[in-house]
Amino acid sequence: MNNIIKAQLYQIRKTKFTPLVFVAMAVLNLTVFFGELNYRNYEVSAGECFAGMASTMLSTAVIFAIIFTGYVCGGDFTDKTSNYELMSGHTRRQVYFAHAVVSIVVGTAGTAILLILPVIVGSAAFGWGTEIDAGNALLRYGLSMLVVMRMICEFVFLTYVVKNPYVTMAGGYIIFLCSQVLTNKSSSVFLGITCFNKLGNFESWFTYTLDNTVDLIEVYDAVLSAGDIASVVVSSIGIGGLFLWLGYKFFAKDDMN
Amino acid sequence: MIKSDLYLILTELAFSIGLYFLADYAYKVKSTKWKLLYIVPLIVCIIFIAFTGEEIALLSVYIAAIVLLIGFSKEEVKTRRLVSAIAALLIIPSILVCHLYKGYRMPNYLEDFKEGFDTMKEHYCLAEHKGIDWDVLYEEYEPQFKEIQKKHDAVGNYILWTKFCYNFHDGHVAYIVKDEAVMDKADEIMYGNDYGLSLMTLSDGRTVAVNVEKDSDVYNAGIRNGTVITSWDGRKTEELINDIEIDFYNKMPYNPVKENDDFYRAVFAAGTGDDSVAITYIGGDGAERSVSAGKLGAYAERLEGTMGILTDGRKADNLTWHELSDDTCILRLTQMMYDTSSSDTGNFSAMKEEVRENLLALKEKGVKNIIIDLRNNDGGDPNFVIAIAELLAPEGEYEYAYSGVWDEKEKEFKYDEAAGKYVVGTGVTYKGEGVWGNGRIVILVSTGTISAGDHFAYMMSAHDNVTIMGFTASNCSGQAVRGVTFEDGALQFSSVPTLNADGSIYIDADASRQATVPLDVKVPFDEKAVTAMFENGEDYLMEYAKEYIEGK
Repeated sequence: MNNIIKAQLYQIRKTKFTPLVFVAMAVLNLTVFFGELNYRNYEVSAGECFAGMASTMLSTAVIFAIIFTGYVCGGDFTDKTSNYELMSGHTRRQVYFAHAVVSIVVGTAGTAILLILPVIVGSAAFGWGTEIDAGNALLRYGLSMLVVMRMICEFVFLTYVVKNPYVTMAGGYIIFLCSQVLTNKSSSVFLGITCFNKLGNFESWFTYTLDNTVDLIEVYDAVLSAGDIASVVVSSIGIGGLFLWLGYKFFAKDDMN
Repeated sequence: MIKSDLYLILTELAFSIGLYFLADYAYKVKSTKWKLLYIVPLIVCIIFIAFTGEEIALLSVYIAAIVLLIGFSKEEVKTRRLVSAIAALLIIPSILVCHLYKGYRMPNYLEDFKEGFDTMKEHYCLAEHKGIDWDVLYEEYEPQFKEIQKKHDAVGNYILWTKFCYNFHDGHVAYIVKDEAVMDKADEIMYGNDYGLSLMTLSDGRTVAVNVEKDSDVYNAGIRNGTVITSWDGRKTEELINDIEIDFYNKMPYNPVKENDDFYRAVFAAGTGDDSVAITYIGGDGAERSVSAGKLGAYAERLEGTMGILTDGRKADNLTWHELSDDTCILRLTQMMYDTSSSDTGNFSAMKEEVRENLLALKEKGVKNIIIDLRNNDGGDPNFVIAIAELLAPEGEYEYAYSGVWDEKEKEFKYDEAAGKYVVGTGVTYKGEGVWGNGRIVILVSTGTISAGDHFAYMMSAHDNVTIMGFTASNCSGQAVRGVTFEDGALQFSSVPTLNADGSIYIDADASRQATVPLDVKVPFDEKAVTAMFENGEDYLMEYAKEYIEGK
């Protein structure tokens, strides 16, 4: 299993595909973030912008995770490498989990960097501000990574069913978009906590004063309840684990031809 | 049972039965792709949940979808048939559960209350001013909402919220329910029965019949609008009226001013009684008589009608002018709003110019007086108020009100605990242009004159040529609001402090419940008013104002 992991990491280092995708997504996310800063043409802080854009930036960053998972888990099916891995003495369990682990670890780390990068740059340029408590924002950021891990598990499952990296990349993104649209409109508590909606959308309300020179004041409520935190942790681990298991069960007896 | 839940149950059932019969075939085919069919019921469940939300009554359906996953990993025909059968057995009773479970697709009223209460506790800006004891309120209402939740009683939830809101004596505190049927049902419960009349207390303390229904028992017994009623359902009317609970308004804002509450108290008392009610009254010959009045239906509609006659202003569009006589003109202001553009920008210069032109034209015609009909004006934009006030006020600079100071860090308006007041921020002034010169102005108010309507009455009351007139003072609620939205309703409350120069609260009545917006002329509610309003359908207050302003 270790050898397969090393081989995957070697492939990532030595080919241009992963760094290119990563840089492209980083540029996209920075554009989204600074585009928002520019759009809000009044004095704005990185914290306020993060509150407004977290969900969108997460959606962009996840593209990296989808493409990467398709590439790592599905790439070996395109040239029969998977068959050679099995013929070289590795069990299906080792092959499956080696690819899954690389996808989850590197995919999550990459997504995490893609999300935090614009915030760091924005904070350095404009300051974090007082609108959002940094601790609460960090907590949401951390929990979002659990959701990303869960999603990667789903993409791993998808890849082992379709055995085609490009179908995973396209299909995965379509599934992701559909789930985002659905959960945005949904009143479901379960889907709210298992997707980015709860974490990426900061509840806010507006207040104002009689002073016409002062704009509307948007007040964010960044605090998550203990129940919400527990729900995200349990649902992410539970659903992620389920899909990982389903994927393995499928691959374990699947016809490789 | 909603259709989508039925479709979910039928789809899951079809899958369970289908997979039962396909188990043998799938085993023979030996294709791993067949396994995927066992995931589909779970995916279907998630899609339905995304559209309609979770429902505890469908728990067995969700479990069935998970149980079917066993068929994904265990390929034996026997196991797959067993899980399919178990899933089907779990799904079938859910139809019954959905029909029998009282809480099916009902919101969590207790959680809504807690959320609303906590938000209000944190952001209600008049808690100290009105002497609100949050702990007492919570102890009183939390157990009641718990009971409502147990019964899943939508109507009870609405009634309880309105009773809760009454405790604030603030016209800006209200619970708005989305479902009108719930509101109508609550009206029926809370306002009682209709016996063909409403009651009102005259300024001299006597209780009289108003809004009497023709051909009803009371009408046939000789009771007319203005007939003195001495007892109701075996109780002296004064006693009945004093004891009546009027903590349930949905036809108008709550009254911060106790005197305003008391003015309308008798109207609410007239719904008291069972299938029939014994009414004692003074007949045309001066002798006391009695009648047993049968119930005609729910009182809510008559109550609404009576309140309308008492509080509504002229039935005309906002910002319209009406000639009352050669000397006097009416300006009707139903709300302090003009168009969406001015509301978005806060710039009411176009409206101001329109009003200026009208004023100058009236002056040109020789009109000397304006009656501004502000009754039931439900507020709007302070910038609208400033624009109108600038035209009508005598030349000079006047103080309007002061903002609070927003604390970015604490996310609240700064409050000086030691002084017991909000910290005063920017002051807003307005420049009187004297367009109306020394022409006289009467402003008619009712208890439904609220918010920016209150502001306008308060600002204009400072000028010598202005008289504020009504049966009661205006509502006396001057703060700005925010809302909390729930599944089946919304709670709104005062959240943005508007202040006087010394940091005291602008306009809103405090715990003593005294009027803060002056009422220069309190029009007596007497027999003449009753006859004019309820017998002849006249706008008595308007006529009174006309006579007053023209000095007759």
